[in-house]
Amino acid sequence: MKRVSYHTKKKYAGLIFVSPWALGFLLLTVFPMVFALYVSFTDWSIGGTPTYVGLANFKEILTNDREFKNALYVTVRYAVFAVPLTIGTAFTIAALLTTKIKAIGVFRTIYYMPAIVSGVAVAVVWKWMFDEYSGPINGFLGLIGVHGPSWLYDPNYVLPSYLVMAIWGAGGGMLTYLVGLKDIPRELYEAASIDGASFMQKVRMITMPLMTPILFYNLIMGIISAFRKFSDAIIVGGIDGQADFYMVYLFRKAFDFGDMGYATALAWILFIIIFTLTIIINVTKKYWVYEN
Amino acid sequence: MKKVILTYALFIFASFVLVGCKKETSSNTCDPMNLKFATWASTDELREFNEIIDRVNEMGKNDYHITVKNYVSSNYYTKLKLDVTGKKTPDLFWLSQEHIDYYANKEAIANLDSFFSNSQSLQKDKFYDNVLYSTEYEGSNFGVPFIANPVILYVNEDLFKENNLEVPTVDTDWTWDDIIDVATQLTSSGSEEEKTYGLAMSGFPPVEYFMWAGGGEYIDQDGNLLIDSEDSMKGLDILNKLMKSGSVPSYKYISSVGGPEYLFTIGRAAMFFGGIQDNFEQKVAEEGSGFTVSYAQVPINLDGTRSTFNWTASTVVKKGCVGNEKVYQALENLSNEFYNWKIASPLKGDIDKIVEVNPDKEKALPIIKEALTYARSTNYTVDFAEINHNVWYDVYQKMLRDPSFDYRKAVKEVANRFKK
Repeated sequence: MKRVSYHTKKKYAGLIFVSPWALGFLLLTVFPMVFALYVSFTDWSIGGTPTYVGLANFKEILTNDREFKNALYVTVRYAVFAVPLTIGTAFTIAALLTTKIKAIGVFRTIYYMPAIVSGVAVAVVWKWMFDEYSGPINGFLGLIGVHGPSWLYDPNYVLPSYLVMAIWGAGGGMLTYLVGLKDIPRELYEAASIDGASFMQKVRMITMPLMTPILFYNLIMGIISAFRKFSDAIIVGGIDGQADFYMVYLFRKAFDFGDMGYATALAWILFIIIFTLTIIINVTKKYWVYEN
Repeated sequence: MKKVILTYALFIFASFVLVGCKKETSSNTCDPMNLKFATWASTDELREFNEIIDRVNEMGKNDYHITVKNYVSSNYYTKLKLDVTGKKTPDLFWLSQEHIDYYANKEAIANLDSFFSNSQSLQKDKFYDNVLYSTEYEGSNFGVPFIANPVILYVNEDLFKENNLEVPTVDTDWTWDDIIDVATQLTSSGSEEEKTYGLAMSGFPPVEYFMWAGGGEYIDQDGNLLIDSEDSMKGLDILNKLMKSGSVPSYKYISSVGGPEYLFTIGRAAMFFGGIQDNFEQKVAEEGSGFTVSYAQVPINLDGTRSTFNWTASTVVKKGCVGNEKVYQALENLSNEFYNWKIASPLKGDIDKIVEVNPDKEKALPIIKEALTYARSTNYTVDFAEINHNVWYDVYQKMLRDPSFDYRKAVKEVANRFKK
C-alpha cells in the first residue's frame, strides 16, 4: 500500500476544509452571476424560457430608456451629496466620541443605534416624520413660526429629505472612524506638541493622513450603498420620480412589469458602474491614502 | 495533486448535475391530492379563507386536498412572479383582473373554457358579462371570478341635509356638471385641515373611469391604446373641472390623512367613490362619526350611458393542471363557497345573497343591483402594468396635484411612448 506523504495529507485536509466555502461560492455566487449574465442577453419574463436577443436590452437601456436616465440621475445626485455628508458626519461624531467625558459609552451606543434598527421600520417612521400635516418635523418648524414644506410631495424637497435620513444613519459608520482615531499613537501628537504644532496642524498632518485608509474604505462602501439604495426609497417614496432610485427602477422592471431579462441587464450596468467607480477610487488611492 | 483536483472537480460537477436533475418541476405537474392555493388573504380574511378550504377539502376528500400558501398581501405579486419564474407556480391562486392577460400570455395559467363548458353550476352565462370579460384573454377565459366590486357613490346624508340639499337616491340621474355643482355647495370654507369637502378622491376610481365618462376608452377591445382620443380627453376635462372646483382635497393632504376613505368615514367628506364591498357603514360606526351613510349611482357619461369601474378578482389554475377533472371539481366547489363569502357574487342570480353576507348593505341593494348591470373593467393588455404606471405618474397623479397641469399634452406624450 502506497504511503501518503505528510504534505499530500496537508493538501487534502486544506482542500476539504475550504470545500464548503468553495462549493458555496461556486453554486451561490459564480453560477448565479454567469446565469444572470446570460439572462441579461435574453428577453425573459415570468414563465417560458429566455429568448436570446443579443445586446438589445443594453441598447434599449442606454439609448431609449428615459426612466433609466432618470433613475441614474436621481441615484448619482444622491450619491454625490450623501456620501460626503455621511462620511463627514460620521467622522465628526467619531471625533467627538473620542473625548473623555462622563457616560461616553452611552453616547456611543446612542449614535450607533441607527445601524442596528431595521431599515424598513426606520423608513416607515421617517415617512411619518416628513408628513407635511402631522409630521413632527413640520410640527417643530411650526413652533418657531416656519411653515414646513411638503417634504415628499414637493420635488425640490425630496432629495433633502433623503439626505436628512442619510445623515441620521451616519452614526452607523462612526464605529470604523472611532477605531481608527483610537488607533493613532498618542506619541505622534505629543511629539507634534513639543515641536509647537497647533491643533489644526495636528489634525492636518497627523489625524487626517492616518485616517485616510478608513476614509478610503468608507468612501467605497458609501458609494456602493448609495447606488444600491432601495428599501427606504420604496417605502418613503417621493413625488415626480424624485425617489426613483436605480434599484427601485430595477425592481419595478423585474417584479411589476415582469421583464426579468431587461432588469438583469440593468443589474449588470449597475455592477459595471460601481465596479468602474471602485477602480477609479483605487487608482487614485496612491495620491491620497496614507500607507505605512 | 492531479488526483485531488480531479476528485474535487468531479464532486463539484456532480453537485451541479444533482441540482439540475432535480425532480420534474412543479409547474408542469399536477397532483390533486396535494394542491397548493396561494392567497393574499390576511388576518380575519385568512381565518375565514382557511375555514372555506377545510369545508371544500371535506367535500372532495377522496379526490383532492388543498393546502394554503399565504403570501403577505403587499408582496403577493412579487412572490407569485418569483414562484412562476422558479417553476414553482401554485396550483390555484388569485389574480386581480389586470394581471390575467399577462399570466395567460406567459402560459402560466390554464385556459378554463373547458371548465366552464363542463361545469355543473358555473357556466359562462351565469356570470355578469362584463365581470367574466375581465378574465378573458384572446377570446378564452382564464379565471373564475370570485368577487365583483363595482364603484358606487357613498353619501353622507347628514351633510346633505345640513346644506339643504336633496339626498340622492337610486333614481337620481346626476350629470357630471350636477355632481360638481353639488360637491361645490357641500364644501365649506376654512383651512385645508378643518374644512369639509364635497367629494373625497385620490387616484380612485382609476383614470379610465373618467375616460369612459367622456365617452372614450383607455384601451379598445383590439388592444389599441386610446387614452389620447378626443373622447378620452373629454373625460379628463371632467376630472380637471372637478379638481378645479375646489371641492376635492389636495392630493398631498389626502395622502397625509390616510386617504379619502378616512375623510369620508370621519364625516369630513360628503361623497366618496367606493366599491360596494367597502364596509363604510361599519367603519363610520366604529369611528363614532354618527352620520347616516346613503348611496347614489355614479353620474351619467357625456354620451348618456352610464358605466362604473368594476374590480374583479378571480381564481386561476396553473397551466399544468389544465383539464384535470379533480382540480376543476375543487375549483368549482371553492368558487361556490366564495360566492357565499364575498360581496358581490359575480353570478347574476346571487344579488340577494349580498344582504345575507352583509346585512349593513340592505339599504344599498337597489344601487348595487343597478351598478352591477353597467359595471365594467378596462380592456387589459399584456403590457397594461407598464402603460398604467406611465399614465399614473405622468398624467393622473399630476392632474390630482395640480389643476393647471397640461394633461392634454402629457397624455399625448404617454400615448406616443406606447403606440406601435
